[in-house]
Amino acid sequence: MERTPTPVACRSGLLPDSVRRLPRWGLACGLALLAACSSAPAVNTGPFGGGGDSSSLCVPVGRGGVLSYGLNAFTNTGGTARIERVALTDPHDLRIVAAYVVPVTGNTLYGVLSGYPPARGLPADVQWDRRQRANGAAIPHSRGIQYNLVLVLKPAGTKGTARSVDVFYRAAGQDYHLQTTTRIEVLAGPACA
Amino acid sequence: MRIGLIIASVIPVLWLVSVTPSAMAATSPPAAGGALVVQGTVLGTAGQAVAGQQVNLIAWPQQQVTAALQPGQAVPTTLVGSAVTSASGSYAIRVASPGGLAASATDGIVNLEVITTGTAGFSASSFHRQLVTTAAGPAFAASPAGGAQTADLRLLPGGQPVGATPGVQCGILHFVRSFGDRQTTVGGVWSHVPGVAVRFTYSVGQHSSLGVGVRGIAGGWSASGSYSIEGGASSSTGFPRVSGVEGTHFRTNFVYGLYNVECGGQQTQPTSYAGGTRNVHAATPSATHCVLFRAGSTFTLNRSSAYTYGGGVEMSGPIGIDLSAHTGYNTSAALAFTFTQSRDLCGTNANPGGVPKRLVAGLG
Repeated sequence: MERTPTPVACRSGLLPDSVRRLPRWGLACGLALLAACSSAPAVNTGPFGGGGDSSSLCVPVGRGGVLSYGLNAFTNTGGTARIERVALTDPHDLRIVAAYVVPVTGNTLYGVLSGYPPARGLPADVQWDRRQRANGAAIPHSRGIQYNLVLVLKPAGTKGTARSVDVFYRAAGQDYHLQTTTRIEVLAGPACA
Repeated sequence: MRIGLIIASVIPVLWLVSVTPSAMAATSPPAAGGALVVQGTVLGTAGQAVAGQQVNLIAWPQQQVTAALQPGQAVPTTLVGSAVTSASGSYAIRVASPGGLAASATDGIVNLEVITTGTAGFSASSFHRQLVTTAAGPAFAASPAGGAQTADLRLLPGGQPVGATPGVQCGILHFVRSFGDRQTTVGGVWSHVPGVAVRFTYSVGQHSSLGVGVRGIAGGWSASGSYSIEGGASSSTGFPRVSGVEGTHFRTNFVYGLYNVECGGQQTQPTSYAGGTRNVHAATPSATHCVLFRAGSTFTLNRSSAYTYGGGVEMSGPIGIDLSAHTGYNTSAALAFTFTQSRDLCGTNANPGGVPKRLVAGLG
């Protein structure tokens, strides 16, 4: 489940009048609300960086097929971080079957391929043997490598979509949120238009 | 180091009066607050720091106003702020509230220019900023590099003392004539292999930052900043589709105008969009940040910081040098790839899922 603040509590206009009449209660409530409102980390501000140009991708996988989605990579400019959860943003008929973090020693990423990983003939840069399951993965400082996010995605019907990919992680005692900028469409057909 | 600084709120009126430092000091509040918008150093023609030189920050009017100017007409610019250089030649201009510049903005973008004229010479540098709404009111977005714009000004031969010629209003720009349509690169794509087709669209609402040229009374032209202009065709036909082994620059046309700067020199910059689509062969850049796309896929880059084409505006005919062109794609421009075979797509700066800048298709 995505961790988001309670929207009602964050709207000052919806605070009860009693908060103003009871200063102690108000102070305690205010602090609680502040904590709740600040629990959602800002997007793409952490040591994994993030962002990038906005783009959209459509990949056909055939009926019943899956997509190995390895378009996005990140570096870690801080100390060792831990990925808590990887999720799709606004998914529609698309789910994550598996998610990996794969170290890449050069510039060539896993790619966008049909079928389960690992694909045959992966680029030498892609260190598939050193992969970790994304959820719970420990991500050390990059030191010249980048981390390729490889998701196995399966559409529920003829087409599955997601606005982007969310990576929730924790580093140096703080929560962070990396969000990619590529819209994903997976077709259960032979080719995209 | 003490920087002589005079701050002015936006004066949303036609700037028709040459303002001397003393006059500005008398009419403007002293440096106190406001956001730092531009700073830099003024150097003389021999490279020495120039003290006591007034630098004005002006805003250009909206694009349709500039496009309608007739030869001899003054450009109705707005004086935004001023400063006088310190002993080391430094200046800094703060703006208390840019809200009055909304009328000068095109899609929220204001074209600004620092300009200095005087006995020591003339110089100018153009840049643009997005007007944004903050809790404290309208404000300029930070420069692409973050913080304030840096504009170091190297004086060009020219200029004359204020009041040397009665009736002349130093710093005012007058439209002289059009240089006509200038071919301008607004995008590019390259492929080493068949099996990939690319379509580039550049539609209404797209903005490009095109180079500005200046020169003094004597000497040649030099590039000096950029001017943001809206372009794009109303039809969605886009440029001719590119497929196979090809390197292509996508070119369209912008009209450039020539302006005289009173007590200064001359300036040229885009005035309007002229349209047209043309694909021109271009040498392939090195691109090593690659991702393999399976056959049948499509990938569209529809909002990008893009790339600055150094000689992207063909101006060598009229002024002897080509000027730069930068089109940061927004939703009105897109680069769409269709993979009929499995192929690598490689960025020159980063992989296609990051900030690739230029994209080259290769053998996957």
